[in-house]
Amino acid sequence: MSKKFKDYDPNLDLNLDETPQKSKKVRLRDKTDYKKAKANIEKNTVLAASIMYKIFGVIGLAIFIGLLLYSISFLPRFGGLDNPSVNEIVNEYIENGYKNTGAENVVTALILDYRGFDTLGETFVLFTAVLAVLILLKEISPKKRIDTYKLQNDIIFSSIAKLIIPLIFLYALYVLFNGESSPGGGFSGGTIMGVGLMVYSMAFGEEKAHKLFNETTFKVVTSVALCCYVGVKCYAFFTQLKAAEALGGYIMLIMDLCVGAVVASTMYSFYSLFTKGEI
Amino acid sequence: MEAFRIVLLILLVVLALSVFFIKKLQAVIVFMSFSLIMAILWVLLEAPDLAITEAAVGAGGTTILFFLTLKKIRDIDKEYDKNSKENKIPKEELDREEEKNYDE
Repeated sequence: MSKKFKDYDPNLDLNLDETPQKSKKVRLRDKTDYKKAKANIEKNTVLAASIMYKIFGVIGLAIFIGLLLYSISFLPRFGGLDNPSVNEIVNEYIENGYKNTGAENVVTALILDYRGFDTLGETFVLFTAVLAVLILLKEISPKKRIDTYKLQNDIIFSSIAKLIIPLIFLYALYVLFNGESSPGGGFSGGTIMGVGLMVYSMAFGEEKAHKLFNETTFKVVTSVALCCYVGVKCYAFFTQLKAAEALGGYIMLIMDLCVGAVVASTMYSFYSLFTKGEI
Repeated sequence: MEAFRIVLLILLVVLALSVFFIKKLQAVIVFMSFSLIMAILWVLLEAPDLAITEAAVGAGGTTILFFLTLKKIRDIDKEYDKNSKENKIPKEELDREEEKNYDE
């Protein structure tokens, strides 16, 4: 029988002073997951060691590789002058790219000016990917980690990392700022900076890395970078200014930095969510 | 340069076919070397932006994430090597000891 509202007793004595009793046992979900994982791994190792799997795998992969190589042999020669891919669009990019965008690197001119909205879509995808992994892997109360071997206690690693981390960041900034005139750009520089943050987190400890880059920092940095990119690109798009003239010619630098910030925070967030369950 | 390219491509095919015969930890290292050879090939195909990104992502980012995944499913364990001669502790005892650590 369901309780009706008139059965509610306002003088019911609720013990609000008592804290709930802490259960000493482990959560059952974790123990059974651990055993299931172990059983799965053993089953998979038995499957992988069987001979039929190896034979059929090699044959199937060899057929697939043969098909791919056979289909590639029909393509025209790499860099040939009679290719159908050499048309007026490509000539326009190569000849007038520097004049219109101010970037000597044609690849950067393409992905930031002629195809700038595609890059915007890619940064949105990176941001969404981190959100999805955050939903799956975030632990609200991170439990004590099992491994007691911390990399910051390793003498070789920490002493080398203290020498190398500034060089990694310096190289990342160099690649980012030189996106226009030399190979590099937003994606490369951002990845290198992300790897530098990973090494910092390994060498100096996780508390210091948490102070440097935590979840609020991630949200602020990615939101500001994306909004800045959208604002700058829309300004250049709707006023029909060339990228060599808009904002004094510095528009490509701003866009490079925005893309680099998003990529770096993505790489570091994946690493941090894998190890400790929080950014 | 042609001979160099052909050698690299044959090495790529050999690496891809060798994944069936090795364990998981060695497969991750094969993946990393595959990415390194791809980075060299991007340079030979005159795409330096891709080379930098492939070197940073492949040999830096995804390899670290793969090792972390293997650690999480507890597939990296020195004592489980069947061929090691100093392995006297049976596997079940090590499992029980690990479970004790996990219970906290």
